[in-house]
Amino acid sequence: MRRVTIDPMTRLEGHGRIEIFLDEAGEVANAYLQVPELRGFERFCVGRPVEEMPVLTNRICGVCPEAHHMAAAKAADAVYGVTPPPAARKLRELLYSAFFFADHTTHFFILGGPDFILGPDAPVAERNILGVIRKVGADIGGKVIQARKYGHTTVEILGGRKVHPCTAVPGGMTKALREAERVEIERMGRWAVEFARFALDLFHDRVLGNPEYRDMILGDAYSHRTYSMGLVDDRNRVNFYDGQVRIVGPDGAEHGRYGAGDYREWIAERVEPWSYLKFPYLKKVGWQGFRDGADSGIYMATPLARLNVADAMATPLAQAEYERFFATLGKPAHSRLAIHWARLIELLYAAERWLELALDADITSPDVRVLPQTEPSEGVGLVEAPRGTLIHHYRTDARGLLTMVNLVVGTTNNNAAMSLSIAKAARALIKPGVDIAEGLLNRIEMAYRAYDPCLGCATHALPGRVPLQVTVRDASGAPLRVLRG
Amino acid sequence: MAGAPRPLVLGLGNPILGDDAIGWHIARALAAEVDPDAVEVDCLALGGLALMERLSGYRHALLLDAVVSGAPPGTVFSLPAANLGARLSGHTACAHDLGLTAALDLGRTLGLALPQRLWLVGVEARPQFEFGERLSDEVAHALPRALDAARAWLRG
Repeated sequence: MRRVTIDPMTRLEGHGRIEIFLDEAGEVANAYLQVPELRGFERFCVGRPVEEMPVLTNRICGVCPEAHHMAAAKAADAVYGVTPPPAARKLRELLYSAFFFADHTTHFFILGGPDFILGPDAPVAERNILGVIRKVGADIGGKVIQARKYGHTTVEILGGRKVHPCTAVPGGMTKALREAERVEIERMGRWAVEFARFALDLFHDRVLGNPEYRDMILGDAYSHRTYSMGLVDDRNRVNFYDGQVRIVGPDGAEHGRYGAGDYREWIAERVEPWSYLKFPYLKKVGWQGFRDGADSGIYMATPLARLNVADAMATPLAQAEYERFFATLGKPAHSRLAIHWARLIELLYAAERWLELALDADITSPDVRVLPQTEPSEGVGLVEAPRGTLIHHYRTDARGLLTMVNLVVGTTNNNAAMSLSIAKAARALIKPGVDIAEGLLNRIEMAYRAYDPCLGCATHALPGRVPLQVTVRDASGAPLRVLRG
Repeated sequence: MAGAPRPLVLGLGNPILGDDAIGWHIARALAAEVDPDAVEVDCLALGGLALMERLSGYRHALLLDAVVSGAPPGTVFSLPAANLGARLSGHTACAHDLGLTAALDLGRTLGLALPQRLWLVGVEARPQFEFGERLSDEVAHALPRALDAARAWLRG
């Protein structure tokens, strides 16, 4: 069996890579994305006080510390059996909405969007935000930086620090919101709603308005019929912060729903001998190998999955766009490139929810914390991270010192689904007797980039870049050819 | 330099990921000995775009970080950050951020006030994937030399 390896050459060298396995005939048999895994975090935490976890876990990685902060705070609430007061819950959700807004903006404009705004076959040196600026105008770059700034400033006001918040604690928040701060957050929220509308207009104009890209998004080339997973509120509307996890099948029918504490009844993890990564799958469906369909337990947990499992969006503008989305794609939608569109609908929802919460009568209440009274034991915290459902599960002794920590991180949910997408992209490009083309890199990047996988990039040593390397290996494992990006 | 903004010294990396924390160690040691009115010292667990945004508004900035270049662990580098640029374009496996050079290009294109003098003092790290607060011996021993290099930059 020949093997093609796409290997990032960084601190995580040898750990994060794409491997493409060819069969004897030279056809693609399977492909896998191996996301770098930083080990030992659970062990690092054991013995520490559980209330340190909201601050400690946001050091796992520099990409989504806010998501770890929230999941950890909710897990610590559960460990102590406390319910934060309404204002604390709303402050957390407000912080979280601003975080989602900045994160989704970054993904669409800096990373995912350029493939569409400039075209998937544009030279790699142009397929970036600078290329977008040259094509659409410098104004867009300034707006993106402003969007990030407003998101981060709102996180800083509520969370005490930019990006690495520290105010969510077991039982609530350490500080209330002052009226002057609320006014500032409201002003930024209004701007955020307009920005999200602008982003969707741009998507309709430049992407869906281009027949070639529209066909790519609506077509079958990047499509897999898997299960979808995501958090919904009590009316089955998308919620990032709280609710129940709902799972729907490839046909859209509900497979099941669970509260955070029951995640182990629904998700099992597959271990493959060739990978240090685990592949979560739906326990009640079972593992049937790397394939899609109703009898395969592979699922996705992405913006598209969240829209698929929901009956509606909780805010009006996002709801209108949600209706347009499914009227175009059918429901549930399976095209992985549609994740980009779904992400922008979530961007609009995050902005609307940000503004809604900034105007909420409870939001400046000084009542932001309930002090834990009971003996700590065990708890699970669950939120939607931008990249998928995030679960923190802790157990402590009677003093609140951790004895067990288990994390299921967003990207991991999608390991198997990303493998399907990479294999499909590779199959279209690698044919027996045909030289492996440079275009392989573009199409494979597009396949996994839609999922927005977190590779923990921001914590790496300089030069801070993760270049791709493709190594083609023969049946004996010897390299035949190396492609570098 | 009367009226000029203070230079910024930034320790980079993840403070709980072994040698990746070396930038924070150098920054903390430096913060203990410099006049805070003359030099701003801070730490940041972010790279790329967020790092570029943090640098905005400074004329002089020094980055302290772990480096993985293939040199023996503990090797100290002191060089203009621009020298890292060659590797920072092209395909990327990182789906969620830009490299620093691309981020700086973006910032300059948008007219942000970015440092005219951007320098790196780096220490070659032992690649590591285990969380922990300990530096490897080689990197811990390099701390005084890295600190000297940072002081020399501040004097220059």
